[in-house]
Amino acid sequence: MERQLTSEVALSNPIIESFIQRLFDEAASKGLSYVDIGITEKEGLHLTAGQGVLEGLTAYNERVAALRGLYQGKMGTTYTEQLQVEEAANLVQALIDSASLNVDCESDSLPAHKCGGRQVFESALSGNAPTDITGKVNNLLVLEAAAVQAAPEVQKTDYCDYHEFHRKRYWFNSMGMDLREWGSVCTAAVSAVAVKGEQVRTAFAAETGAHPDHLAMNLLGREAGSLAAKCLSGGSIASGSYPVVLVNTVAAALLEGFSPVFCADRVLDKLSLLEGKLGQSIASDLVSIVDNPRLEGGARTMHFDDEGTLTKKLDLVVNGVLKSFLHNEKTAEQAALTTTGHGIRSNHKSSIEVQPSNLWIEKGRCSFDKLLMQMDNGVMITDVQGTFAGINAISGEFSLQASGFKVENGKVTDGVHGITISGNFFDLLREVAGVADDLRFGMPYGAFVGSPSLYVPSLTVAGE
Amino acid sequence: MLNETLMTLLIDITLRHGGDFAEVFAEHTDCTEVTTRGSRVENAVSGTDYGVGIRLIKGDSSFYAYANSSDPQTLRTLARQLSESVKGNDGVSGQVITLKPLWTVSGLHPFKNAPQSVAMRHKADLLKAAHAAATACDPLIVQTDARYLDQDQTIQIANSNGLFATDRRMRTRVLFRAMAAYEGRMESGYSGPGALQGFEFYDTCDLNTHAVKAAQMAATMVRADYCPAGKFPVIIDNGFGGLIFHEACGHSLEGAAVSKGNSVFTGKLGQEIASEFVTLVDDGSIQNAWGSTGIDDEGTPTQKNILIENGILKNYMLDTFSAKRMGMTANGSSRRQSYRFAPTSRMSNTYIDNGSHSVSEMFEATDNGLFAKSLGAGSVNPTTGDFNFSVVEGYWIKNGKIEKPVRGATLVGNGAEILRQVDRVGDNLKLEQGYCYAASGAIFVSMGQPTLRVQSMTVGGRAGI
Repeated sequence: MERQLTSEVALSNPIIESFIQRLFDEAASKGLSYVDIGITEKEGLHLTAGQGVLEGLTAYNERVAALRGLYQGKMGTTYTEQLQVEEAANLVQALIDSASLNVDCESDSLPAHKCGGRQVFESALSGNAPTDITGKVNNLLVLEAAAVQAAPEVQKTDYCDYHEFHRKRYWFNSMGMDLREWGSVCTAAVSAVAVKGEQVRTAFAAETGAHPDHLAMNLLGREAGSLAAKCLSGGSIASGSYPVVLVNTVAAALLEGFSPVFCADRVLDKLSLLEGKLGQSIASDLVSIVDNPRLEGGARTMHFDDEGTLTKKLDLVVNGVLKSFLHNEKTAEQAALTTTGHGIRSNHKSSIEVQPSNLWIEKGRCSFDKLLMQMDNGVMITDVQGTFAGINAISGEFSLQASGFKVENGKVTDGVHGITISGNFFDLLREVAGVADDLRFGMPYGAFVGSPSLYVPSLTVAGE
Repeated sequence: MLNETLMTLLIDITLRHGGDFAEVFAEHTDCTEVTTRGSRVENAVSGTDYGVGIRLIKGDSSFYAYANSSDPQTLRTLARQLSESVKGNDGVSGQVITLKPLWTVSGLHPFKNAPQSVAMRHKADLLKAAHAAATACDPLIVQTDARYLDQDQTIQIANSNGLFATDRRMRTRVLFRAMAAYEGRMESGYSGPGALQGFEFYDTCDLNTHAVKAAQMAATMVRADYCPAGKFPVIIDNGFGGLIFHEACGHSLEGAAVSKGNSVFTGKLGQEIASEFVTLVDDGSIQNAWGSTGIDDEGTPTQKNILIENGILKNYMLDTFSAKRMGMTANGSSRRQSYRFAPTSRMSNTYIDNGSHSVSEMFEATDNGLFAKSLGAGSVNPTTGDFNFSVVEGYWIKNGKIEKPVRGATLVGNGAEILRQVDRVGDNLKLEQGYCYAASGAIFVSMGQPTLRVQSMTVGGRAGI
């Protein structure tokens, strides 16, 4: 039974409100000239299945907060997981202690004293917490069964997961700003195991949406199962340079690994090779890249960032030309610009950094099949591993374990595995010769990143 | 933390509707993190994590719930909700649980200076000095960043078998990165020493030496050519080189994957799975080592586990759940990042033991190959055994001698095959520190080995084939 709640009702929280009141009163009385606090409440469910049954279930409920305060001109930070009214005094003291120590913390910029009233946001299609666990377990078993039934060689799954969480975010400051929003994210993921003789191959498929009804379990299971079975063919290939099609999830993984190059904090610290290139062509004119925190159903959709800045869509690259970096208040001040609303903390314990929200390469016009025909002969990469190890966002270089298929006369033929693909991300962007219309997003850890499939005329492949 | 009465009550509530086993894990962790970029302190923050995780096992299913609350009412509700996950009324419901006398592990990993007793300023000063050392060492160094972390973690575990144990873990680590720029390119070098110890660790560990090592790595790599692509012999240096085995077979020897048939090493106890020169050990009891704990995160004492002996598979890393599935005994290998995770079999300090080959002979025997001096990170698919890892400092070997530095290569292989390809193992075993991310979260681990040679691996470079 699902109750329809309005945002106003769902986000009103007397416990938090009285805590905030006490916090700001205490802060003012102890001489803090400014305080802001971001609170995140998360209620989640994680199901894992195997062998046709539910293997694991984790349910959780947490509330965390991150605070900043100004004391005698210096900024202090602290965090807490205890939001009782009695904690307010301790937190204020922690802010004062932190500010006093931050004689060392030479961050030049102090939080802007934003004014404003109360605004409540709801991510579209969200907010109604589905409560029927049995239904969700059955759904997950449908996913597993679909994977196993997709091909006779598929024996089982080695990973079959469903994860959903409902998140409420609050942001208050001592100037009276009061921002609230809520949203849900659901993800289903499965890895199918195909066996033929001594050969074992796995293939992974995942989908993220705002509501469990948005996840097509049957299709997803079939996708993983049939791909795993197809991967049983073939072997390695000769080392050399090849034309390559990177399928959408692979291109998205690359973009995610290299996303720091678009963050102004890296740029200003000379850790991005895009420094000094605003207004210049840095990619093929087929490539446009967008960051949109207001994407409907996006896993990282947020109406305000962790600095209380209201967010909006941002064009990073338009037809190959670099238009903007992602900024927070501090980097914007250094660059004499306005924050783009990307002041985001990785978690409640970390400081505010610059991070993407929902980030993607815009889809092109041609179908995936046409993209393969454009390449004609080459290699299609369907999976890469080790992205956190084999990607160097500072140098732009990447070298990744990969697998996929040969493409001959525009058609997919034998499987290819035990290879690596290597190259330079900036060269790759410039050389993109084809962009398909199959935009797809990756897993919702941190930033939510997507891409369509891309054709690149040459990458180094190491095999035999 | 929680008292015995409450913990007993929570276990009782959890088992009310059935189940074979219940466990309560409470954690209080004080944590400090200081990060610098260049000589500038970016962030310096302290805080406390506190929470409770409750686990219920029935048959092959595991149910887990956690909350970051100390309120008994909230925890009782959590336990009740968890108990309702289990249908049916069989199992040990109604049994009176008596917790055996509390036992606390102490003294196995001594510490002197609890990190809370050290001012934030001292920690920041360590990092600033390291930055100065790095930039002084080579003009090509344009930037550094460093992350100092310390943790004082106290845990309590109680379960329906009557166990009630506590452990206190004091940890400290610095991960230092130096960046060099040359002719429009940038490369990085790293070093990351740490220990299960208090702040006195830095009395014996000279952080500036590590900063210089990172700087030299970056400066060398930024001037280097691309690494060749193809299949070659690879000599992997001692220390963090042990990452290859962490990926190639470590994860595949964790009980959870093995017991579900999701490992290339399932059902192979007693079989020859590696060359005779390979002996692989996982030992969570090494005094003050980064991956050690007094008891594991289920309350089982840690111990030295010989996994592979002279090429023969002897043992797996076992948590209680997977041990039971295979009719074996838990051996102190159950770990979790925090109360937010159910525990499972994981590595601790994992290393290839000393062999007797000479390191210089290894080079002489290599006509055309790679010397992987420092590794970065990697990953593995335990089901297929396919693994990868990145080389962050490499040199090309030509006719038995180091010819030149080479950059940018990921090495790939398959765990079932690679272990047989180890044809020489030296006698200079060293362990170094890192992190491992898997099902039960991010944990601190050491990996190590002597310098050794693998006959053939696929090297994912970019240079002339």
